[in-house]
Amino acid sequence: MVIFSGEIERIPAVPAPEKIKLRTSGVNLFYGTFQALRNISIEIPAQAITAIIGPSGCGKTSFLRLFNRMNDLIHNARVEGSVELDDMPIYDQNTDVVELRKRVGMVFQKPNPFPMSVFDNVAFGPRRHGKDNRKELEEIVERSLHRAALLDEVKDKIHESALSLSGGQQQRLCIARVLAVDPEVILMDEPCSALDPVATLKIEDLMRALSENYTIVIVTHNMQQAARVSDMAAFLMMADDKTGELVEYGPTNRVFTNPKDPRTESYITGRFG
Amino acid sequence: MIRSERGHGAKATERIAFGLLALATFLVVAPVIYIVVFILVNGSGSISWEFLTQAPRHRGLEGGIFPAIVGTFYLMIGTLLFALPVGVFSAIYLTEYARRNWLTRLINLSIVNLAGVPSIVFGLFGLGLFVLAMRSGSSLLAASLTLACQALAMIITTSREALMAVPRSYREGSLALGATKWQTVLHVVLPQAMPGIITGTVLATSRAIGETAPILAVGAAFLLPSLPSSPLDQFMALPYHLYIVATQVPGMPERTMWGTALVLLVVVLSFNTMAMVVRWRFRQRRV
Amino acid sequence: MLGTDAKSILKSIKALPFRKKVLLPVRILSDSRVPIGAKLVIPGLLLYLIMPLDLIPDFIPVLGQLDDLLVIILALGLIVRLCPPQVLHELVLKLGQTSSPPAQPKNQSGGRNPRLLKRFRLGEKIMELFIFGNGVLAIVVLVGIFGLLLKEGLPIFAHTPFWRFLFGDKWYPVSSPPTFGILPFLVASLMITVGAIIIALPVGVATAAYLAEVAPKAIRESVKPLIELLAGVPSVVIGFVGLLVLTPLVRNVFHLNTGLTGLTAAIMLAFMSLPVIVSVSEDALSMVPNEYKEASYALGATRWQTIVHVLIPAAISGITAAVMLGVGRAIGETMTVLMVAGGALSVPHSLAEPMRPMTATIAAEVNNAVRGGLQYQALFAIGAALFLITFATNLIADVVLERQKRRFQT
Ligand SMILES: Nc1ncnc2c1ncn2[C@@H]1O[C@H](COP(=O)(O)OP(=O)(O)O)[C@@H](O)[C@H]1O
Ligand SMILES: [Mg+2]
Repeated sequence: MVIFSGEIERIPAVPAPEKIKLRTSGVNLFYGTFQALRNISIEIPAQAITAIIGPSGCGKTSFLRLFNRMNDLIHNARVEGSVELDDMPIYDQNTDVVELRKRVGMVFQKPNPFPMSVFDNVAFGPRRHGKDNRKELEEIVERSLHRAALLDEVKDKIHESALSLSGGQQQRLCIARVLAVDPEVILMDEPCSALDPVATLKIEDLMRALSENYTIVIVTHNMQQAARVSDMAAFLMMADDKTGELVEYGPTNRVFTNPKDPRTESYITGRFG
Repeated sequence: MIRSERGHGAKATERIAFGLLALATFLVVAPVIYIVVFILVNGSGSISWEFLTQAPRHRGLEGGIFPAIVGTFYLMIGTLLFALPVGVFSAIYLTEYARRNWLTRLINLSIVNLAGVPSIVFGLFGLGLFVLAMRSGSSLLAASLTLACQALAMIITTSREALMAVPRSYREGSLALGATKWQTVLHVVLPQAMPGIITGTVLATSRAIGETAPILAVGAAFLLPSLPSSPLDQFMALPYHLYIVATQVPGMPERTMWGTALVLLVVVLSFNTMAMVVRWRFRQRRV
Repeated sequence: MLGTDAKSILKSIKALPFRKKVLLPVRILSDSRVPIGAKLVIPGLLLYLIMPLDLIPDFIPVLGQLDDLLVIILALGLIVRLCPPQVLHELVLKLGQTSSPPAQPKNQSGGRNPRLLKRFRLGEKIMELFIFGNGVLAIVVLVGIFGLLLKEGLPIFAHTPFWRFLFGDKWYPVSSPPTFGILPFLVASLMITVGAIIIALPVGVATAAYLAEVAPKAIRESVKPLIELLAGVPSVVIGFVGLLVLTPLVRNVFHLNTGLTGLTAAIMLAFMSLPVIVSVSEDALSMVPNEYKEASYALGATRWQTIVHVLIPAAISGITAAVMLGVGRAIGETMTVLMVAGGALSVPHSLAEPMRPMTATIAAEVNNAVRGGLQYQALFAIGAALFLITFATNLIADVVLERQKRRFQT
């Protein structure tokens, strides 16, 4: 696979004719009595990059974690409304969370490679899912590292600790780790916020390449980044009671050049100066 | 110029007060050093190859303490064998599985109180349950189980701390890859927490094998013709041996007491020190 | 009972793949037509798993859990047996029909991908059950201890009424008829503990204040391991040194007939409860927010004034907890008091007399008591009393500590 850098602006995808991969309808999220999200309804197209933007604390992370039920880990979190993956409700009683997370991978804000070797990090997922043939694992690791554009850099360090890699490499390792599980959706929570500009560009290129095959949802507070990489953009903002609401959602071009909501405009222009 | 008279007086008071505080600290520390040095000095003279490798003769008046050393060693293994898995799995339950509900609160309460139960009461428990009800007699097995119960609270507490020190992000990373909870615990959390768990366990075990009251109640032996050959055999142990030679046998030469005390102290403190060094080294590394 | 019909059902169960065999009891339990008896097997099973007394005790690794595993399998079988044949037949047929992933026979229009449906992971479930069993073991042990103490100890009250046991001042366990009054031991425990705390409280808190606020880093770093070391020295060793060193000292200084007195024991216990008092008090002192201190300095107070008027009052609940824990340690300590307190059986009138606290009484007599005899029962009753006392002190300490933590953590 070729990694493009500096790809030309893509024609924004319109959700209607495309397949909807993820859908929320009327979602409310509570932490205890505090409501973090209110009445969020959104349809996220397949094989495209959707950016979630908004001021910090507006609930972007909470929103993203809806899709792989990561919020289940928080003891007082409660979800109302429905979230669907391929039209299947994922907050159903019968949903297998482990299966869901195999199909919906996640990259975290701070790179979090396990304190093991590069190889073991990438092989972690496949091993847990029952692959233990060394040959097969080696293939998967190599392929995943390659697709994460990391193979050349770590070829000689594959059995060294992942913690010895640079921040940008660690984050791409985390992406490779997700790719090794072969998910359909990749959720990314401000994947570049801890990285320098060069590493950031590398990850952005990688996302573009990956969006051919994967549905990518990325949280970012960097407007330029959202404009550069995403096909769709959703703007979340806190209401007066600090609860996050979806203010605007549409093709990135349209949201950035011709926002319908004045709040979106002031946020974007405020950021752009 | 700025200092007033009153300020001067306050300063003087402060100096005296701090002197008293330092004195108090000295009062705490000096006896510790005194005990250790005292035993080292007095005991080292009685340590001989014979003392360490021979069984006691003539009601312990002659010979060595070898069976007691071996017994204490066995007790340590036994205690570790029982307390480590139970303690670690309890800690895993509390940190990884338990929800915040009344049951969890009850367990926490139990641990706090278990840690405060007097050692002689553990001894009664061991006597009533393991020695008599389970019919394992005054055996290594019964004593190990009793000491394990006593070490349990501390092992759970320290293991829980070690598990909680593993960053959340590792757990989330693993779960997000579709690993199950147990897989996450086994492959990500436990390896990270292992040094802390081992340190705490060694510390708890070394405390437990220094205990006399529980094995006294369970029925340690003072003199045995042979070493225990199975967990159901009777046993000798260093702390109990020291208690007997120091208080129960008239005409006991002092050097036997000192030697026994020294060996016991060295055994227990070397484990303590080992645990502390391991903990310190891993703390350094984590920074 | 087993008709031909049942046999054919069993045959078709045997034909099921392993995963479905395991699933069968689950299906049976979720079926409303199944009698309550079959459903009660599950709580019964859980009860067995957490019970301390089972075939092979859970304390024994691997083997101890083997019987639990066996019981799980037996219980699954029992559930299948208790299910009415028609229902069983139907469920087996249903299980046999569905295709390899155990998809529910629900009609989902959008459900193209059955992979999201809940899977039954046997290993995971067993592990969960096992971990849960270990998790509740602390409760089981604690309740087990108290239960056993009561079971073995309560019968003594048939011989000696409760109040006479508690306030009787004569303890003649082996004369005939025997008399069991534990007042001498209660008083001894009380005196020694109070004495110990009177000594340990000022010294411990002063040390904690010194370490937390005054001591240079080098001193702090070298004193703390020493105090930790003290906590690790076996009590019999401390008792031994006390016997040789402190006993003659006390006799000579106070001109007593013997150095084996409550006072000697109190001094030893003060020393032994210092590690917990110092460390918990120091934690409490360092938990006080810096703003308190700064506010005090800003008003021109010296460090000493700040310690006395700001820090110690702010940390008072933590210090209280430290003292409670010290009390618990002192009441429960056995070997030193057995060795140095003198062991007299009459009610002591002053600390300078020989005496025998509760713990020492148990330790001194437990090996002579005949199982189930009156003396044995009386010793267990003393154990129960000790348990209750230490339970109360620890509980208070825990509650107070929690309060202190909550106060400064928000
Ligand atoms: N575990 C939690 N418990 C309680 N409140 C939380 C928790 N996580 C996040 N919040 C609150 O929810 C809101 C949204 O948080 P988050 O989703 O992290 O926002 P963002 O990612 O946009 O910065 C914030 O007000 C935050 O304080
Ligand atoms: Mg965030």
